[in-house]
Amino acid sequence: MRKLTFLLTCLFLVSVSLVNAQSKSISGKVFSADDGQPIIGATVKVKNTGAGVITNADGEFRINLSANEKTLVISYVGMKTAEIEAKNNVTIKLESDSKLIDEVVVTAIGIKRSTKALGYSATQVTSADITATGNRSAFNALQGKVAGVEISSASGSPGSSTRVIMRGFSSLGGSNQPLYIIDGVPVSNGQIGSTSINGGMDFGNRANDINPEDIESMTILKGGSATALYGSRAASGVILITTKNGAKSGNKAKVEVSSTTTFEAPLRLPYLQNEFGQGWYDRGGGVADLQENGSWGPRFDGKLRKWGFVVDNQQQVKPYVAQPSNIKDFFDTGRTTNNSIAISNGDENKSYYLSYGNINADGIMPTNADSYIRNNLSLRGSTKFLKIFTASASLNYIRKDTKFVPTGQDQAVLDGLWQSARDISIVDQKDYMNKFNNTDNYFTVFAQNPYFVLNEHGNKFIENRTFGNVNLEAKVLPWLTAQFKVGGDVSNSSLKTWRAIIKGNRAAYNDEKGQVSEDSYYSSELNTDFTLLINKDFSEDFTFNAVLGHNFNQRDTRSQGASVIGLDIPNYYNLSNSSATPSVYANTSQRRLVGVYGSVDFGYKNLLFLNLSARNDWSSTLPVNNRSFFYPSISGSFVFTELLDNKDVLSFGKIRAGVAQTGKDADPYQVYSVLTKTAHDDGYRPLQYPLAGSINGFSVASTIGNDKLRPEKSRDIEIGLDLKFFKNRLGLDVAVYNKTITDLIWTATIPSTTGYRFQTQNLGKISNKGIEINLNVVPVKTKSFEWEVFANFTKNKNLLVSLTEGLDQVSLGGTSSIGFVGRPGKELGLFEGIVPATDPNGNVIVNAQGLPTFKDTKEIIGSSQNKFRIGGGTSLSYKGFKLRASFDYRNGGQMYSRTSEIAYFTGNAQQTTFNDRQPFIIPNSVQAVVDVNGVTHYPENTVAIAGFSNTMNLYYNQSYNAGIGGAYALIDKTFFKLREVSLSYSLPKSLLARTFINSVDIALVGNNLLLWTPNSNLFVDPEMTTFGNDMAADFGDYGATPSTRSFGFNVKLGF
Amino acid sequence: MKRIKYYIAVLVTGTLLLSSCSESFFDINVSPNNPAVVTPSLVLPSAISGSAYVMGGYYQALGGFWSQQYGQSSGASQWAEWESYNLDESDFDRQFFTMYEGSLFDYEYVRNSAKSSQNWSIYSIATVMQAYSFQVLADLYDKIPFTEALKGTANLQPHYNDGTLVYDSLLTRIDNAMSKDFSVSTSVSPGTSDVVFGGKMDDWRKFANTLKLKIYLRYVNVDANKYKTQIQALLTENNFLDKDAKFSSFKGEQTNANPFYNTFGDRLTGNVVANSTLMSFLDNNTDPRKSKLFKAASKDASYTSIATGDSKNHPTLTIANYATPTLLSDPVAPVYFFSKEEVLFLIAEAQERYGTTAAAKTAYDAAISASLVSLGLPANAKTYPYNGIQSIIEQKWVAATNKRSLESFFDYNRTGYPNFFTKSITSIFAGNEKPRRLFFPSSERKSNANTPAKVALTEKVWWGKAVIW
Repeated sequence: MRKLTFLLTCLFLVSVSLVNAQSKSISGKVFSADDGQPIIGATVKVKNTGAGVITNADGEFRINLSANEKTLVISYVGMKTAEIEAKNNVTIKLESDSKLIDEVVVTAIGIKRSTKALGYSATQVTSADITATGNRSAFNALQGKVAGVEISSASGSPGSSTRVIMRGFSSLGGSNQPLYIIDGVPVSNGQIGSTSINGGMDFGNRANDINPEDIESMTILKGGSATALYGSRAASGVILITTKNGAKSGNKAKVEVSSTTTFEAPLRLPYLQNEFGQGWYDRGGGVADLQENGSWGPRFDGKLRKWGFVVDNQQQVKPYVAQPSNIKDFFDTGRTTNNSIAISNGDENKSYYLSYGNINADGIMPTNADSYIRNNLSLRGSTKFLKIFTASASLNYIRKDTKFVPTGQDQAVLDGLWQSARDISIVDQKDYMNKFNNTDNYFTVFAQNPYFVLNEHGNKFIENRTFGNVNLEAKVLPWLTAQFKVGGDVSNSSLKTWRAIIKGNRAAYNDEKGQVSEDSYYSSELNTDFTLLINKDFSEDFTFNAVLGHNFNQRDTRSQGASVIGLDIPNYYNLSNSSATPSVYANTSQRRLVGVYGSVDFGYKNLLFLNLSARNDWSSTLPVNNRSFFYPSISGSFVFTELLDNKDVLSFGKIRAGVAQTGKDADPYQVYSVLTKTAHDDGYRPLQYPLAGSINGFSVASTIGNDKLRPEKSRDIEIGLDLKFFKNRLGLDVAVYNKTITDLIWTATIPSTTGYRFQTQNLGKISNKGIEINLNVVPVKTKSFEWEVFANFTKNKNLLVSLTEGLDQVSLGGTSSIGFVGRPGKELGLFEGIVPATDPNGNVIVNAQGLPTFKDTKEIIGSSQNKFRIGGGTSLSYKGFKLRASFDYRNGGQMYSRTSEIAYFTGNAQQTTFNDRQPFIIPNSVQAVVDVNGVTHYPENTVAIAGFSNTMNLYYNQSYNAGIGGAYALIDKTFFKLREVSLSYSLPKSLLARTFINSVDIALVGNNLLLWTPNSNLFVDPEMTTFGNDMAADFGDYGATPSTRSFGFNVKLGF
Repeated sequence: MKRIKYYIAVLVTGTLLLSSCSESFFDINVSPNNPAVVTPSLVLPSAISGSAYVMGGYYQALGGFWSQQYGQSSGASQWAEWESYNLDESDFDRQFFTMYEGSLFDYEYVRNSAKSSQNWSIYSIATVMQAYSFQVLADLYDKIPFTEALKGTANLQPHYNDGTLVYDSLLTRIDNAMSKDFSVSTSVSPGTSDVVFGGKMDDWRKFANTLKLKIYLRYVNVDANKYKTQIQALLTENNFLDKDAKFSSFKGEQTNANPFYNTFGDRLTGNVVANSTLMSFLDNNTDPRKSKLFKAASKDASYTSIATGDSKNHPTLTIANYATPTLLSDPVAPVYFFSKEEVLFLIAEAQERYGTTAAAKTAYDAAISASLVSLGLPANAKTYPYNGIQSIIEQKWVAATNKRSLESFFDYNRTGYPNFFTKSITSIFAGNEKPRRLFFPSSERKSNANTPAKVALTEKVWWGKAVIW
């Protein structure tokens, strides 16, 4: 910390001395001629010298001149550049320039380029898009706002992961997440957690660590042409984040404060039946059974009945009625505060920026077992020195303290909720030490009191992360800039988890011996880029830019942990508290990547642009002979409106096209075979080494090395059209792409009879074809009122084109009952499950009990992939008021839902009240009868499934799956969400004129206010997942904490 | 701060290394976490424990259910489908693949490694134990990959071999292994890495003879005289196991206990109880082993048992109402490859078929005594009349409870004894049919194009008795 202070002092000193060196100055103010508002960030330059400043938040500037300098040039994007005589207190009005739409975006390697010159789609997102509702995650805030980017939040647990997928899946094995680049340096998007169905955890992905208030802008690069310079790691797109700096504050220290408080409630809880109460079908036919975990008992009659166990000769009594809100009542109101403060100052020559952010969230679960505290500290500064040099540095420190309520089926809170009966009040069992509610006497022996689980089991995750960069730039020649940038990102995390001892005296189903585990994780990334930037225009008509670069990247990980099962002292969670041999592990990994890249841009008269680029990578993770791989790309654009004279209707038009290749390496350690410390596992309880008698053992690993591994290669073709009408009042951008990935690297399952089960192979080919449409309309624009509407449409068609011979499918995850697979000729992410056996006419064949029969082999029962997505929103501003809203609609696809599955099982699902639970014959069912000649006949079935009986049980549980097989656990993923609504009001400047406050913005904010799903999903928010934040996440949800809707308010102050 | 300095150092070195374009800069892809080569003595225990884990866990349970020693308790339903015989290809798939890629391939690693260094003792132990394990799989599946198996990427689609070929090959391998000279200097005693006999090669010679006898006796239905000479020679040599061959390196911990205890008792609690078929036999004969093989019901100290497939018919009962296998109460119970009494029953059967009835009866009586003694009862606590093969297999079945239940399943399929197994109440098979094999596993079906077509569970394996019911 002392060093930090020192660095800060240095920056101050530099600023002060530079300011003092300048003596003579004039000031002025820049306004927009259109609406009379001050223009922030307009460039004011002294003509012919290039020295310049930027206007501050009030449109004011102060600039230094020498005596012979008489003219100022004032420019701003979208405005006509003005030249004025330099005199003090000058007022300049800039007029909008609809002809010149020269938006500048940050592109690969941090090069700023005019959008018109781009041969690919690059979406720029501004700070306002990200921070309007005070979302803790800059990416959650983008949901529905960008075409071609699917953003999903894993659950309602505070701090949970966000998944970002661009243009479909392009890899099986590696990450499908974009590469996150902050100020030119790649940063970690690692995620610590577990996707186990027996206690899953999600402590968030690291891209979400960044304080949204620190972000100036983001550029989203989706296609290969846009990302080729970033090489291997950018195969799934790039998100370039530019952070705020002090350069625009015009030498006036700027303080920005933002404070948001929101309150959260579950967005979707399952709609359950309220007709039948506690009982189980095979336990005496519709008679209440007081120890059951489901609602297969009699119909509610309102009479007083005993419930629960007899304890000390006492038993509780309650009316036999439904508790329609028993699940809802369990949850608390979540609360999140998000506060940040930033101080900045500087000008074009030097700047600093200092910010602190704090998020404190306690989720919707009672207690603080789901909580997230994040502290962000950022410091950035830059200065020019010795005429040609610019040095800049950035340091960010993040501390996270997270507690997560485990998902899954084993001692999980939600599992306890779902396995309750409809007449039982859960909240009344909050006192889990009470003799009727404790682990001995909790009303059902088949599940655990969720309050016990919340309070007695637990986990605690802590992460300390530091990332930043140092950048040195030299303007060697007027046309040549050399740049050296070093970036680092280091995270140290620790996770402690524990489970209390449980010894129930009625049944052993929920017994626990007590366990504790301690894990620690380290990950680091070191990145250097050396680049030469050439900017030499041959003539007025011909422009030329080039980049040559060298990149080095090294990533290290280390993880180690220990756990013991079987604690001696109750409630004391330390590894020493056990006589059992601890299970321990330690793993490290290291990978290196070196790249050399180059890119040239030609421009002709703002009309034609051409880019050629190429990169060669050397990766340590590939076999020696396949280590080096080269990939080129080409793209161009044609601004055809430059040929038009009249641009009143069509103000701007551009056609762009690009073809690019990208390569991608493998994960480390896939090339050679190894042995591993022995552990045998049957899926329930392992046998781990060392054995009794201090016998250690190693076993040949189940994965065989592959010394012929090649890099994955993707080829990407993109064509786009960018049109703007009526002086930018209507904008349309269309992109069509076809991305093909060959030599997919993935773990193939090989027959165990070879002695191995897996091998990492180059085993197939994927394609993604899609279209993205962005539409922007400003239907009304007057001096005080503006209405803007935007919408985007995305359709991506993913296809697993082929697999190597002998492979019929690849497994992508799933559970033992529902597989998650890829099959050639179909999209990735298919569900595989059992299907009913049918006669040649498609009628279900039932058995002697009238229950359906199933085919021997599992079949594809659904797909996880959306058919299309539409996002959009609107903003209305009137004087200081602004109303913003955005929505997100996703159509098609299915997901696995544990909630659905268990609601059928427990008889809590509305579907289980079919036919009032009276006997019924499966519609159109047949029996299969084999005659004496061995010919099978299919007479109509007349055997009904008995009501309140064992067969009803079997019909709805995992044996017969409500008659439809595996598909019963799948739900439709279609949804519509009202993502963000904010109503803000900016206090008029006039009101603040005499105060030290510059700006005051207050807002009412809401996130995920509405969710609509089709009738086939009565259970969960289909965006949720417990399977990480990559492809496997599409499998679905195994009991995640429900997602939330949030309301709150936000105050932003500027000083 | 130290770390930052470290980074700067790495950076500088990195850049320097790069400029020299050193190849070794990239040669960091050898895993620091796992060894590439290990001495065979560190792999042998893994191979043996792998066999013990599968055979003493799921296979013990399967054998127990299908030879009506165990039953599915009311109040739970984990193994109900085993009792109704409603299996699919994914049942026991995990056991199959953990045997092949785990145990069998670890034996193969030990064999290859020990062979190249002429370390014959450990080579032979691995060969014999691998043969033992292969036989179990061949008996469960009828056909298994053998000649083309365990060759890594050299053969990614191994063909399945007939059980007869597997058997013949195993016999050859056992003889070859036992013909090695264990006294050469390259042959190092495996010591404690031999978790069965502590490296005593004389015991392994006995194990090999016993295994050969077990293999020979499988031929009684198909070619009874094929190995008559060899059997008689073995009987004359009479160098069979005279003690248990067992794996007992368990600790009473959740990650390190007997697999049957751990998974079927402690984890999936409430499921496995005494079967009425065996309980009635013990009751009818007032056999004192009853209270040693089963623990009385926790609720009323009774020895209540349940018939196969009867679990759903007693809605008010749970495991607390039934007697449970004592194996469920002992976290460190050994897993048996052969028990002393089983060897004596094998000898009795061989004598009955290929030697003298008198010698058979002697072995039979000794076997029953051995069973009693092993359960802590006096050797003469109970006697049973001798009645040829039927009595041998019936007694072998009782003695195999909690120890070698899968062998009882094989014996039943080979001999049809005990002939009083009940029809499962939930059986999906016609008449009194019972399962006689497992389906070829789903992982093979999905990844190996040479997996044979599905065969009904009721189809006998190649050595099975043609008609049992």
